[in-house]
Amino acid sequence: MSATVRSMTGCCAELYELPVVGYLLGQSFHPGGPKLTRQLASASLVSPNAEVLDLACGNGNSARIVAADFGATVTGCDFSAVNLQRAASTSIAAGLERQTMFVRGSAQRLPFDARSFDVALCECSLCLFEDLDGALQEIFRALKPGGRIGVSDFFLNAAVPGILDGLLGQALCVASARSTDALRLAFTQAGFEHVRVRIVNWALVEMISRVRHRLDVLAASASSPDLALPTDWGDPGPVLAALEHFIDAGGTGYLIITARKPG
Amino acid sequence: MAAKQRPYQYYDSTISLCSTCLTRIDAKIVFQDGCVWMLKRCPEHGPERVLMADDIGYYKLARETFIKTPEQVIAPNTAAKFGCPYDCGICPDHEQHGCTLLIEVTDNCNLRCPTCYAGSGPERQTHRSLEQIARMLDRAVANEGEPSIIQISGGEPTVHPQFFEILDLVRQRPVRHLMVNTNGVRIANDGDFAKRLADYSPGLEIYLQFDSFRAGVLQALRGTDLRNAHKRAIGRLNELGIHTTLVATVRRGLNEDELGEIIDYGTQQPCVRGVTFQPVQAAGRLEGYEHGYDAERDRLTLTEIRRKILQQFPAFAPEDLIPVPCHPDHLAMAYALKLEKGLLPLTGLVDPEFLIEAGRATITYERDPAIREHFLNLFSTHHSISSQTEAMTGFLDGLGNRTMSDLSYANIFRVLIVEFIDAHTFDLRAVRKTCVHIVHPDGNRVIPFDTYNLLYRDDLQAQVLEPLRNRRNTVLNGPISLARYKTATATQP
Repeated sequence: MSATVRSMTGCCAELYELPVVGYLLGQSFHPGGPKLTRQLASASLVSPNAEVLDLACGNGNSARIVAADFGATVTGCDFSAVNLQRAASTSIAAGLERQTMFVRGSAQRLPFDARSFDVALCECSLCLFEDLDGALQEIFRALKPGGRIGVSDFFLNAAVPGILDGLLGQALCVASARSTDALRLAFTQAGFEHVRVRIVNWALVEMISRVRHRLDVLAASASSPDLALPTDWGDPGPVLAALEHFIDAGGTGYLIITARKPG
Repeated sequence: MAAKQRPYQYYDSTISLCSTCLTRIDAKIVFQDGCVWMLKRCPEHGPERVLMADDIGYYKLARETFIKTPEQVIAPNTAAKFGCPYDCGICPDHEQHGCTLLIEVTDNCNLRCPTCYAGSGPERQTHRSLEQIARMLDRAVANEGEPSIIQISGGEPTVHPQFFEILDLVRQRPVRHLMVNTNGVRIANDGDFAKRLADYSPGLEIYLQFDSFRAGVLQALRGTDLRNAHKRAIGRLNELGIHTTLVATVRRGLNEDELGEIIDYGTQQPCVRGVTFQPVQAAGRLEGYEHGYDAERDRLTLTEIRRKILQQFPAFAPEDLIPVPCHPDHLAMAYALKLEKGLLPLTGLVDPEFLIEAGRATITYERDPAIREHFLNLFSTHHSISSQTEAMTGFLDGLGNRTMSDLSYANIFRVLIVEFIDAHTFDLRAVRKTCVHIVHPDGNRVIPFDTYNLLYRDDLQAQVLEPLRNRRNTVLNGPISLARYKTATATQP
């Protein structure tokens, strides 16, 4: 597990601890926010009383949405003890402690029996798994026959332009994303059937527009030192513009993949 | 101190019925535990909590997105006097014309099914006369102009001694499509009958009862093992090329696990153009339930059936099985192309806006040239629609050696869920949108299927409806209509 943890913290987990990043991205760090979480859960056939795994559950926001809005029982799994603690206490405060539980574990070796879940969700985290095939095999194992997997993530179908290769690019996980074809192949090779890809670039467009607006507010107000941009970021304006252009050109984007374990 | 919170999300208020006495009562629609519930209370019979849907997202999609401007009958048949649903119909406050009009030509049936909304059976001997049926058909034409679908029903219509003369009566009128609702027994047993039926093709569709592949299930729903009858009937319909829709009545605990198999079977029969699933409506004869029908235990909702279809027939994704805009709460539909490789879903490729706007409101989209055009246009414009490329590629692969011009109605396959409203699920807002109607035998009225089976069929009107009407202490002076509002304003000084 340690190798996985290192690679994760090297990417964006550390960054998310910065107050300014929290400010820029808002409550939901992943694109699309609760709206996309609901779309993903619907597309994955989450139903009342379904057993749902939320892999890389972070602060448990999505787990709570799926529990509250779909009536499902959700097990959140994450490698960060801090995240899990936060997730558990927030769920208690929200009165969802009976429908949500949080377990520490790695995607490479899920701490669950085979055939435990009706649905496995994984939002904006697949691109962080060094061993994607291993993670998909683990999810496959943990799903019941006929169970569904639903994943949202970036895809990358062209080389990242230099300007996006910096810190902000990494924060949005674009640099380490895979191509739509590679993702589809990985799902098929893990044994999943009815692999369906839906492009949901609206989630990125909304996110960029929100970040841009918040940057404007930040620049216009006498902000606290806490919310200062790290000095090595440079000017985020051109980076965002380049990202928008890259999305328009089809180089990157956001997708939902759903698939079914045969049975 | 924080204010006490409800354990639910409040969504709406409506008017419902007490499921015991059918009195109009206030109701709330709330969301709890991922489900949509109706809460209501009868002063006499106490509180009820009814599961309306187990998918909040879909329920909201149906109510908020898949809505279209109501289309009206040419002229209403009754006045708004006692309030919905005591004025059927069609009364001036109904908000949809009839997509499908049933003409029940007999009460007699060659089966006595433990589940029958019409309470038909061999012991009931009344066949309606041709003269009466002609009057009922004339009513349908007067209401609709050119009725989209006339469904000859019963009882079992094929046992009517003048069955073919009835079909001729339909053909003599401006009816766009003729449907025969049958259990298939006559078709299975009588080759000459089936051949004569084929003379009415094209433009004839058999709405064929087909609930299960299992003897025990058929015994429970139909009182007899119909497997051989199914096989022979389908064999004949295939041979004669008569368009057929398989219709499965779905009862919880019996055949809800066979939905995918029924669709799969349907795709393999050349005559079969679609499958319709209907959860049991709590009306008419409901036998064979332990300690009687129990709504909480036995009712099955549209969203449950929809999810079971998606689970059991995984070629369909959720966006393929969508609300039908003319009556979105209670009808869901998927279109697919029947290919050698299997079914290719089409609905998910069509912009929802288009479905809402296109053509006349009718649940038979495949017969609407605009919709067909759109489907066919998709095939030539797919390169510009990036999100559709993937499915189109699969579609083109599936075509194999065929050319584009071979694509036709013959390849289009439809899956439909029809959830009839009963006293438990009665939501006045939704019942005003019903579009499957029954022509009353008196030939004067056309009544929604849903309310007909609760209040208007046979003795129900005299025994149940009239006392309810008598107890209404308000008499409406007319409909809730814009025209009336304008008139009222104009007459003010």
